[in-house]
Amino acid sequence: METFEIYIFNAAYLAYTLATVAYLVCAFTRKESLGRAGCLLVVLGAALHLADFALRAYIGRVDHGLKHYVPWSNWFESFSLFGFVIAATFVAVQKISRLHILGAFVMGLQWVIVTFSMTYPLFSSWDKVEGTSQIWQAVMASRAIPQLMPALQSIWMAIHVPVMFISYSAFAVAFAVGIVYLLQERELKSRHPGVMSGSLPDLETLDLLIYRLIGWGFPLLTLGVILGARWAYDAWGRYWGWDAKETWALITWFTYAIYLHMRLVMSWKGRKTVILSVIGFGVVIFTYIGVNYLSELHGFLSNRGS
Amino acid sequence: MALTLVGISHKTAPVELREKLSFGEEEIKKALQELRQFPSEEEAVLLSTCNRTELYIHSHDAEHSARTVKFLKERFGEPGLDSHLYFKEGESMVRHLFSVASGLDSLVQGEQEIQKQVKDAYSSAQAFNLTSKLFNVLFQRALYVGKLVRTHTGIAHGALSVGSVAVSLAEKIFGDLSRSSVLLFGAGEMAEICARHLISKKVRNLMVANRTLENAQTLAQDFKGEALSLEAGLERVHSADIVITSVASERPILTDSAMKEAMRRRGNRSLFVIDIAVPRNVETSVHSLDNLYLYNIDDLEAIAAENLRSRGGEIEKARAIANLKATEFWDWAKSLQDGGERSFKHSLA
Repeated sequence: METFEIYIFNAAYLAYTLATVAYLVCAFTRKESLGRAGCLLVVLGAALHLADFALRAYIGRVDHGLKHYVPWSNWFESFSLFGFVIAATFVAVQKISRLHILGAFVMGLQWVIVTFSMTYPLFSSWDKVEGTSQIWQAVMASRAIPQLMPALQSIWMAIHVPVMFISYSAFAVAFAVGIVYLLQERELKSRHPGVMSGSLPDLETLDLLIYRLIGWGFPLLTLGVILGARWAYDAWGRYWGWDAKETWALITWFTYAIYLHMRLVMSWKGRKTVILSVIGFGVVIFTYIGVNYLSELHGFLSNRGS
Repeated sequence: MALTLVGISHKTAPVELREKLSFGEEEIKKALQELRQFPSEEEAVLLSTCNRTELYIHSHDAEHSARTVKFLKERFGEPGLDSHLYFKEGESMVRHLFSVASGLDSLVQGEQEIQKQVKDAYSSAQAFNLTSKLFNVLFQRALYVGKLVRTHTGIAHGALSVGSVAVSLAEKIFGDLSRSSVLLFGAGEMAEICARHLISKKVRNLMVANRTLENAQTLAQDFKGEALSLEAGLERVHSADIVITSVASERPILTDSAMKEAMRRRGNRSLFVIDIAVPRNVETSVHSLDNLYLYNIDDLEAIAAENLRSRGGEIEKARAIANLKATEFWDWAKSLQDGGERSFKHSLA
């Protein structure tokens, strides 16, 4: 069963890798057929990935007897979930916009995240790694189904985390689209736009897409923070305690609130708001990863948590 | 088997003559009707655009071909035409058709329009039962080669005229231009050309502002737009998405502070400014404002020239593909005649 889970995840990873390659080649050769192939591969990868989550949940609960186990309980699983939700969000974006060129950026980012999910232990102990077999062992160790710490054994785990990741993935896609916007903007400002400008979409479409993604991600972020507070009440007996994670979640919330405020009320558009959305994702990443080294309570992932 | 082509194009005849010889939609139908009266066993396609008029014929009898050519000449009724006509036969006719469909024989090499024109010419002939196996394969193949050449080489990439460069830049900023409005200051050939190109993209509305209101009205009427005095135009810069300036003025009419104000009033939506005037109508420093893109006529010309240069090398590549495909077709056509039909598939191998 567990071997089968490994194969399923490998297949999903392979599909994502091929999708990224197809999109990158499509970006340079402008072959529409490669873009369509890329899109199908993302769908395939996401379907396999979803099956993998179901299988892990089954193995964890039945075989390992973990009562409250959900397959997003450690670094690997949480990154893996992030990658999956980005892929799903991107499929939805493709259904709306059909801009294949975005695939090179979004799936590039997604691939980095999924790859990092398996290999992160190697980065802290790179000097000790010898040979590929050791790399493989480290990857497999990080992919194993984890032991659960008491704080995570809660129904809120199954609700709070996915809501947060759906909103994070909207911000991640908005970030990738924002990079595309800034590249196109720079080309047009240069007064001699080159081949790159030709293959990138127009500014208006990109700006609107970013706005829509944030407009979708922000209410979910709000909901996620509220659910998190509710969980905190169950776990620690208070809704809000200015723990580093909580503080930074609030900073993230404010960053995107400022984005929406600037766009809707102060009629900022284009460049400035796009830069804000790119910075916003930086804050998301810090809240997600960086804070775990600061937070006493949310340090589950760096094994500092209680 | 005799494949013959008789034609006249921008390469062999001046525009006045080409205009006389071009067939309108109805005239094509009439001509095809007449061609059908000719003895059977014959295929014919008549291609007529503003740059060329060509008659493609397939006949088993050389005399039939000669008669068809004579028909065309009589139809033209133009003395001294012979020196402008060209004839092509057999494989060289196939080569010619493939290079025409690929846009290689066009005035602006690589242009897309011809693809559709060839398709229409073929469909009309087909509707009159003037094509059968050989021409069906030939013309479908020509259209396929045209597409192949455009996707596998860069001959169709990049706008080549100032007007189309302006349009492609506007499309990179606004996407679909049907929601954009255009404000044209002054008059002048280049400014008008840019405006016309934008109009062809069905812009939402167009305003023309001029010192002399009458001049603005004449032009606005022509464009089906709105005429404004220069002052009224300056007052409404914020409501336009694309501003073209071509006013004879010693000092800039659109200053940095005026554009800042305009951007504020339009809620910082993108603004595309094309300055065609010399001396310039727009202060160059406005280009550094967020979401404002200022291009002058030199910028547009430089982009057009660059696009033309980068197409150059691609033409050879395109020609090689078209010729290769023509040889392939010709081999197949010959095998057909010899009785042992060879297999013939769409591929670039």
